[in-house]
Amino acid sequence: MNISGWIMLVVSWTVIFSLVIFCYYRIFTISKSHMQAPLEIDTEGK
Amino acid sequence: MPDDSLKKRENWGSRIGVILAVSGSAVGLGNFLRFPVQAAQNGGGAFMIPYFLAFLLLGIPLAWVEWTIGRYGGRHGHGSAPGIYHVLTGRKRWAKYLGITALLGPITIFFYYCYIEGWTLAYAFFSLTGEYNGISHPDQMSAFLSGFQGVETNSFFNGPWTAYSAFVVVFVVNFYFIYRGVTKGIEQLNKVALPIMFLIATVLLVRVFTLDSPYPDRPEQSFINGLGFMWNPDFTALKNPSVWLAAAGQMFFTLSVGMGSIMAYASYLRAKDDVTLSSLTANSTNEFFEVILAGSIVIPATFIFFGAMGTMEVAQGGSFNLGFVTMPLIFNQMQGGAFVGFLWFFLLFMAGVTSSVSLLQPMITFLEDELKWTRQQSVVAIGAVGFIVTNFIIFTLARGSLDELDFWAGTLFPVFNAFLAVTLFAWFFGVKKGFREFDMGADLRVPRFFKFILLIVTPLSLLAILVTWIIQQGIPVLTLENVDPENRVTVWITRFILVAVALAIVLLIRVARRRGRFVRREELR
Repeated sequence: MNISGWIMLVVSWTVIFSLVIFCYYRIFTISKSHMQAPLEIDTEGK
Repeated sequence: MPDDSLKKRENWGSRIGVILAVSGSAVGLGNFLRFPVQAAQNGGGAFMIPYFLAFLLLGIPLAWVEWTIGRYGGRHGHGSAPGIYHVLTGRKRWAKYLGITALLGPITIFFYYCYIEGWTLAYAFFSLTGEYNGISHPDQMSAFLSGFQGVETNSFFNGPWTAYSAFVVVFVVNFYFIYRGVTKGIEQLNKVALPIMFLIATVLLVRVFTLDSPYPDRPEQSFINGLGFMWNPDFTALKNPSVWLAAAGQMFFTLSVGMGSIMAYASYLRAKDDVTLSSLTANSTNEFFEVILAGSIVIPATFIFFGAMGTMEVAQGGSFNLGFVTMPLIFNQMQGGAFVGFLWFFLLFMAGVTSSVSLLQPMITFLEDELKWTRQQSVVAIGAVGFIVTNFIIFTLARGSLDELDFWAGTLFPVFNAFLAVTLFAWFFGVKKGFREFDMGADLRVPRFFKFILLIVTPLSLLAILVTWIIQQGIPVLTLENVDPENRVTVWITRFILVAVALAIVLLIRVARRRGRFVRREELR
């Protein structure tokens, strides 16, 4: 495996690991009680 | 105004449940067999550049759109494409018919996918019983597979009955989980299956990592050099448009977008459940399985036993050859190969089941929502049709029925469906209103530059893929260019079945319309 191969592997794995950790961290730590959704006004395109 | 019928619809039991269900839908046989082959054939590590670009420009936005319009449709009592497109376009007369291929595609894929799923279950059993033990030559292993499929009668098998038995088991398993419903069936299945798949894939990865070259005189056939075979970049490949197309295609299939399954699953969310972070989490889970786990198992293992030239030949032989011919040969040479082989095929089986139940769900949702059929009625009807069609596929496998269905349902329809979904969302529903939908209950704010991506980049990219595929593959398929004259009758019967199922869906939409399910905008006044 050459140096370019290692770079591609490490960068790809880092991107995916970071995304997975970020997403699951947010999923398990966000308290829904702090979330404020906008008003639901549905005009169905009218 | 939310539809009253929403009260009768199920909801997911937990947030992690729906994330794992969508992840399970996405993680399928393609992750473990198709991705490594695509990467190795298309520039190695350089393939990851168009692959990640496709993830950003196609995969992530399309998944956000499908989750969002699914939740929106569910809020109005519609969980399948005809109903979702109907409310998404402000109840246009024609919109419901645009959803036909989003029902036809997944159900057709299910018809042949569950047969292939049966192969994985049978091979898991064969691994433990030593059925393919002692076979050391690729031609013999190919003959074993052909005999098993019933394509030829040989010393290994006398007809397709073993494969048929495995198909019946898999068929029943799929309908069992679908019958149990969204929470008790699909959610429970994925909550158990995904962690098991993760554990098995990790065990396999560790086993491949600890493999030494079986040939003392060829120490270069190592795990690290196997990774190198897959990851060493050939940047000149990026000048080839087909590499970019392959990356877009792989991204497309791996995330299960354009199948109608994500929309159907998302329709069971509550009105203010998050979709943006959940969607991204499901996508990243799929990428973890595909790039990190699958990418480190198959090609390195093949390299260790067959070297660079052998691996190149295997990659050119395609995904099925890799999974059902090369991998069993490797297990036969490996210490503890029987158990490792069982783990490999059981992993494929689990990945298959979690995907195939999601292929059934759009049609089940359609029948329940629009025709008010009970789950039992829906399961019996689809089961009966599915059993007949899959039998036709099994007994005409050698005559090209599966390939024909795979082109339409597995290649063309998903791209067409995704193009429709993103176009209707961005141009008819409106990107401004669409972003308000994204933001509803969102735990992650979608960056605003995605407005441009959803309006221009994603639809145009999909259109380019669609046109290229129609020219490259569609015209030869339509004109039966690569079909033996003796198989042409079978291919035409296959097309007739596909058209018959499509017409049946049109008929059901019209019945639903007569029962007041697709009320037009002018009729509301």
